Amino acid sequence: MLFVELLMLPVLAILFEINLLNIEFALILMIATFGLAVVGTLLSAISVNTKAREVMLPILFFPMIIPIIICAVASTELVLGGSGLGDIRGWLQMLLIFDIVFFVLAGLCFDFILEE
Amino acid sequence: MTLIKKLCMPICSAIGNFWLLLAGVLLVADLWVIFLWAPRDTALGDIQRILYLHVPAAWVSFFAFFIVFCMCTWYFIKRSDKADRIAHASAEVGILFTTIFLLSGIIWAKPVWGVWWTWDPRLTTTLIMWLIYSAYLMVRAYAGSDKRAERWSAVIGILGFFNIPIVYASTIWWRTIHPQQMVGPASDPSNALPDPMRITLYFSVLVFTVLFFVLLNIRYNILSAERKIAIIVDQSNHERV
Repeated sequence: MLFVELLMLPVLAILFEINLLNIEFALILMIATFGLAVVGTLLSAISVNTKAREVMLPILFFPMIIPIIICAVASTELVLGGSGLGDIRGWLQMLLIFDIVFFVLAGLCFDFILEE
Repeated sequence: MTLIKKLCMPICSAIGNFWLLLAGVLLVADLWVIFLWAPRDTALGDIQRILYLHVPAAWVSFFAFFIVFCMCTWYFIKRSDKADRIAHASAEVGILFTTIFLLSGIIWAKPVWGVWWTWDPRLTTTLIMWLIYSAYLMVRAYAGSDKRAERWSAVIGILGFFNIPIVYASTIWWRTIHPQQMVGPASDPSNALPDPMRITLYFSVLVFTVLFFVLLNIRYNILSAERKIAIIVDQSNHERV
């Protein structure tokens, strides 16, 4: 996922003429990608075994990642508007909190999902 | 025949019980309080009375999903079938009240904002909450086996609950056209409701909470009865083989 993002970023930077090479943006990218990966792994473990697997993953995944998407979009918006690390601290903290919560829960739940 | 009677007993006793009657009486009283006793709002007029259905429905849906969260956690720890059935029943009733919450908001928005729906943070986050718990019920339906349905839906019930604080705080965090909270911990004292309106609102919240427990109880009894029927059918199939 991070790899695809790294491929996309230069294209994005050129097309929109924005500077993405800063520490704030890298932080947002890392933290948000981590959260998305954690939730995605957990929910795909559920959805691959259901009857309607193609439908189940998006239905489960998109509502669940909304907190991460909201925080990432809001902080990216601030960074692109020229804000520094201090301005986006609140959003980054919330992003981190959701990451930690989802990571801990996913770690606890994973065996629980796979056992038969 | 005796079998049917035995299975129907929990449902009949739930429907015929005191709490259902109480909920009925309270609902009628609530209608009287909302439409006749509460004063007419000077700015918005009679449309403001939707508040007395909208806010209690919101509170009950948050509460229902909180119960789903607690029961899912309990199931996670103890593997209790009972906790799973309560969570299932609570999610269904919660979705019902979220639907009332959304629909009453839509009806209110048309005359006040001029549109039925707008992608305001509060409205969007509430719709997402509705979607999460619809997904919760879908996982149950599509899981294949009962045991899987229980385990997977428990995971969704626990994860999904973390979106609810966002719904509640959405009017505080973002610029929104939705009115701010007028009661509760996040409210602004200068924006407080006048006393008669506040009493009406609290009474309505109480009535909706009673109604919630009555519906939860009925739904729980039906799910338990379904489970018993499934076990009996299973056994008779085995005997035939």
